[in-house]
Parts: sequence; C-alpha cells; structure tokens
Amino acid sequence: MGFENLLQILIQGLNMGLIYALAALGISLIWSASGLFNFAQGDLMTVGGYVMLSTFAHWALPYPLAFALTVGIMGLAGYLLSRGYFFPMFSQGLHPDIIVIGTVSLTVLLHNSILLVWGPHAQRFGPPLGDAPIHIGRIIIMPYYVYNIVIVVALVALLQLFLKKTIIGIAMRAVAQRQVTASLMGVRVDQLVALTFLLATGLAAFAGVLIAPIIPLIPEMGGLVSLKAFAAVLIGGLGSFAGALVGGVIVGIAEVVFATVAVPTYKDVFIFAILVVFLLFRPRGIFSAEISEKV
Amino acid sequence: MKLHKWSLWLSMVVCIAALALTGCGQDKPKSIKVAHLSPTTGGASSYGMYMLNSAKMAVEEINAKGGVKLPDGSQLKIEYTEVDETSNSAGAIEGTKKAISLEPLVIVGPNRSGGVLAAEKLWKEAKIPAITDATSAETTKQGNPYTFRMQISSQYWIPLLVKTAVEKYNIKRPAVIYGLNDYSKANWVATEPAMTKFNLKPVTVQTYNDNDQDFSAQLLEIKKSNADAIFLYGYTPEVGKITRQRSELGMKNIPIFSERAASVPSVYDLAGKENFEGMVVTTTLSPGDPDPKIQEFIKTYETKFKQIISSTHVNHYDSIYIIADIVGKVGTDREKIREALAKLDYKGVLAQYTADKEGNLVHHMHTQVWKDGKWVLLMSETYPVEK
Repeated sequence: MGFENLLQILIQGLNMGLIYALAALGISLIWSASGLFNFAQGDLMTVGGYVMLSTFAHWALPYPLAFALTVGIMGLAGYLLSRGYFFPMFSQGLHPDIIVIGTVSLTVLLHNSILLVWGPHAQRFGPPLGDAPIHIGRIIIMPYYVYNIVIVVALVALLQLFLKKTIIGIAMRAVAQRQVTASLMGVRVDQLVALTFLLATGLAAFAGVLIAPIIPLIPEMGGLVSLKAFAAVLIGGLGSFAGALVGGVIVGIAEVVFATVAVPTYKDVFIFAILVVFLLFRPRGIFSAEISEKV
Repeated sequence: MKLHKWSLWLSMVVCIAALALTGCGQDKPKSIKVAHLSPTTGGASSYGMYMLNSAKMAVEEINAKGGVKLPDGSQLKIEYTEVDETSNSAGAIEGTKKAISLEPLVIVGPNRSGGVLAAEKLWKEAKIPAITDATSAETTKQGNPYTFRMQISSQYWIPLLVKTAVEKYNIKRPAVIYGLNDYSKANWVATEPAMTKFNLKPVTVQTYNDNDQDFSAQLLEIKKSNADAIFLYGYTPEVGKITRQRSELGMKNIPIFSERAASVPSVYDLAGKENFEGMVVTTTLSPGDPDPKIQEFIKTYETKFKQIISSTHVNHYDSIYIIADIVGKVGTDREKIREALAKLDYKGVLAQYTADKEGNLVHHMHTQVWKDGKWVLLMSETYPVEK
C-alpha cells in the first residue's frame, strides 16, 4: 500500500469516524445525565436527516435556515419526548435498565413513523458545498469531509464550553454526577434531564443532517450507524465527550484499514472484536470517564 | 308431535352426507384471488412499488371491463392483495405464509432470489402456483413444479452484459464487485464463465455486505488494479452508494456494468445524476425499445402513477394478464392453472412468455445505457426455450 493510498484510506476512515462520533456524542450525553443507554439515538438521528430532507429538499428553504429549523424541531421533539415519554417512567422510580426497554420501543415507533411519513425508499439531499471532489495531488477530498470536520469540532468545543462555563451546563453536570445531591441543592432535576434530551436530540439532528449526503436516508439508517456508535462510545469511554469523538474516529479508521489490508466483508466482525477486547481488558474505555469526569 | 330419537339421528346423518357429497365448503370462488408478494420495506423496497403499481394497473383494467370470463360463461373479478415480503428471507417466509392464508388461486412474487429460495417449499406444500420474480438461476432449479419466473435467469442475464462490454466498449480489464446476498452472488457465479467465453478474466474481485456504508477499500483496490470497467452487482442502495463513491474517488472514467437494481430511478438520485451517466444495465424491458405497445404502456404507467418506470420491475403487469388469460381458459382449479403455466405460450404487452422445462417464462432481454438523462437501447438477445 503506497503512502498516497494509505492517506486516502485514512481520510475515508476519518470521514466515517466522524459520522459514528456524532451519533456517539448524543448517546454519551444522555447516559451521563440520566444513566440511560438510549438505543433510539440512531433513529432520532435518522428522523433529523428526514426532517432536513423535507425542509431543505422538499420545501426548498435555504440551507442554513433548513438546518437551524431541523435542529430546532428535533430539539423541541427531544424535550417533549423527555417530558411526555421518559419522565413519567423516571418519576415512577423505574430502574434505568428497565427504561432502556422504553428506548428500544421508541426505535420501533420512530422507524415506523419514518415509513409512514417519508416512505421506505432510499433518498438523499446534496451537501451544501456540492459534490465536486477536491484534488490535492493524487489525494481526493470531498468538500463535505472538510465541512463535517469543522462542524463536529466546533460542536464539541461549544458543548464543552456550555457544560463547563455556563450555570445551566454546570447544573447539568451536577445532575449527571449526583442527582439526589443536585436536587437537594435546588436544581430542578426533571428540567435538567429534559434539557439534556433536548441537547442530545439536537445533536442527533446535527448528525442526521451531516450524514444524509454521505449515507442515503433509509428508515433503517439509524440502526446501522448506532451499532457502530455504541461500539465507539464504549471504546472511547462511556460518559466522555472526548471519548465519543476519539472512539468514533478509531472505529471509522479501523474498519476502513481492516477492509483494505484484510477482508472487507469481515470489517464489522473486526470492530466488534476490538470492542470485546476493550470490554475484557479496559471496560471503561480509553478515556476511562470517572463519575467526577462525566460529561 | 314427537319425533322418534332414531329419526332425528338419521336425518342428521343424511344432512351431513348430503353436504359432503355436494362439496360442502367448496363453493365456486366469488373472485380470482391473487396475492402479490413484493418488498415494500427494507433495502429492496425501492422497486417493490413498481411491481405493485404495474400489477394493480392490470387488475384495474381487467376489472373495469367486468373481470375474467370463465369457461362456464360466468364472470369473475380479480381480488388482488399485496403482501410485504420485506427485504430479507425471513420476511419472505412470513409474507408467503400470510399470502397462502389468503387462499389465492395464484401467488405473484416473491421478488428477491433469497426470498424465493427460502419460501418456495411453502407454496409447493400448499399446491399454489407462484409466478415469481428473482434472477438467481437456482430459484427454478429446485424441482418445484409450482414455481414459475417472470425474469430471465442470471445465467443469461450476465453473458449479454459481458458481450456488451466487449463488443460495444472494448473492455479488456474488468473488475467485479458484488454484495454477499443470494441475488448478487448468483450474478457473480454467472460472470466468470461469461468472461471466459470472451477471453476475459477479472483483474480483481471485491465483495461487500448489504447495508455497508463505505466502499472505499474495495474501490481503491479496483483503482489500483487498473481496471477499465466495473461489473457491479447489488441492491439499489448499495449500487447508488458505490456509483457515487466511485466518482468521489476519482474513478468516474471507469464505466459501470450492472443489472436490474441499477435501473431503478432512485439510483439516479442516490448516485447523483452526473455520476450515473454512462451506466450500462441489463433489462427485460427497455424504455429505448421502439415497440409501440411498450411505448404506450410506459406512457400510461408514467401518467397514471406520476413516476418514471423502473425498466425491469413492471413486468407483473403481464403476470396479471397471464393469470386472467389462463383462468379464462381453464377455470379456477389451481392444478389446471399450474399445468397451463407449465405449457405457457403467451404474447404479452411487454414480452413474449414461453415456459421452459424449469418454469422460466422470459427468454428475451436487452442491455441499455443511461445517456443524457434517458435509457438508450444497446443490444438485444433471445435465448432458446429448453422444453
């Protein structure tokens, strides 16, 4: 494998890795705030992609407006979902492990809603900077690779800033670390958990919007991506934003490199073998997020 | 007046015997039930809609004329039910069970090769003839006398594709990439002997899993091999993604030779129209065919459903007419319908249908190229009917 080929493969892997990282960020955020493994995060991402399809491709709104509207709609949906669907379960004192089944039910609900509203067929909308590849020597980069990297890095930086420097962010972290203590200190836990869902669903919308030009929208898309995203979360370190980002990139690059040097059809087996190794020897993942470091 | 106990029992026995002798519960059907299995969800759903629409169009036309006139002079309408076979074999089994429970005279579908292979025993046990789709040669080699096929087998499908690549494009270094599913594997199995016939050998053979999202490893390997053509076999979403990624990796100059999944209009959108230009596919019906009956069908379909046809997914229009024609001649006995299908020689709107010894009904096909936003006919071939 020549250097140029290797570089091209790493670029492709990074591109896929960012996709997994975006989905992983939302999973990590919700787990941190509520102790809930949200299996519906991938499907929320898919819904985000479809909402963008409607606002941008069907309603022909300008890209930035369609993007903002999509994130807004999905954020609101996440807030309502938390208040109307998850909070009644929390308030009845159900263990998070049981509520996880509720997230699985939600995947079925979302999947079928997509089928009803947008149909089963694969659909795609074009990326904002066009589909013309950029040639740097013999290396080819799609404009949306660069666009996605900038958006994801900016998003992670903004989230870190929000969580560490704002009162609401600090309160969210307090809820993530000790819900009861935070509640005794006057923090409205229900509001903060709802806000976390809003943020996580907004993140899912970001992911859906950025992914749709790369992976065609199909109702099953979320399930396909979220499996890798879960692997990314666990490899990177559950509860850590940096872990979600690094885990996603590792998964993306590892699968493309494995597909190139070994057998492409076994790349999924390889990724989940890595996950098993991590679960056996470093179960807290690369970033080993302690409770005090969560979020 | 009191009845004797024995006379009550006797009258009951006589009633039961009379009902049995007159075929109690076996009344003449009130309609011609057809269950149509087609993928409306999952990866193959992109073309399920075309199959259903074309079949419904035929049902509506026939029923609008009062239905089918039976040999006894009575007239029956077609009662058509669509059943989702999903896009996997387990779904095809469930769908087939559901279709059989509807007690149809004939099943149309399933569409996918894997689905046909998984479910064919069910309609054999139920003794219901099935006019299937699917291109894997294996589907009609199972010794199932109830299986018929409205498609051409991949053993014919691929040789014409290779012939077109050699004779029209002077291809010398083909690469192959196919999905690991029954349908695509069958195309690959047919590729090697077809290429050998033209003294060709694939410079590289790549595979992928259904639902994969990234194909850069395989495409870069093809690029490295200096291939001058890509033979691509897979379902619509993957064909679309691979076609687009080929351009993204600077390989747009390498033409793609594909098959029926690549003629579904949604592939243009997934691949990007500019990346789709020059795509060569095999098909049983080409919009580039000047036959006036075909052109009229395409016009009617596209006006009615406000969608461009998918060339190889509308032939169940003729399936319905074949069923109507046979029922009109032999009535509603499934065994007689099966026998008639096994001897079929019928000129449909879209093709000539002649049954061979395995139950394959179609023996004529084309290759076409996507040029300036439309399909242009390249080559045509008729294969012999083995009786």
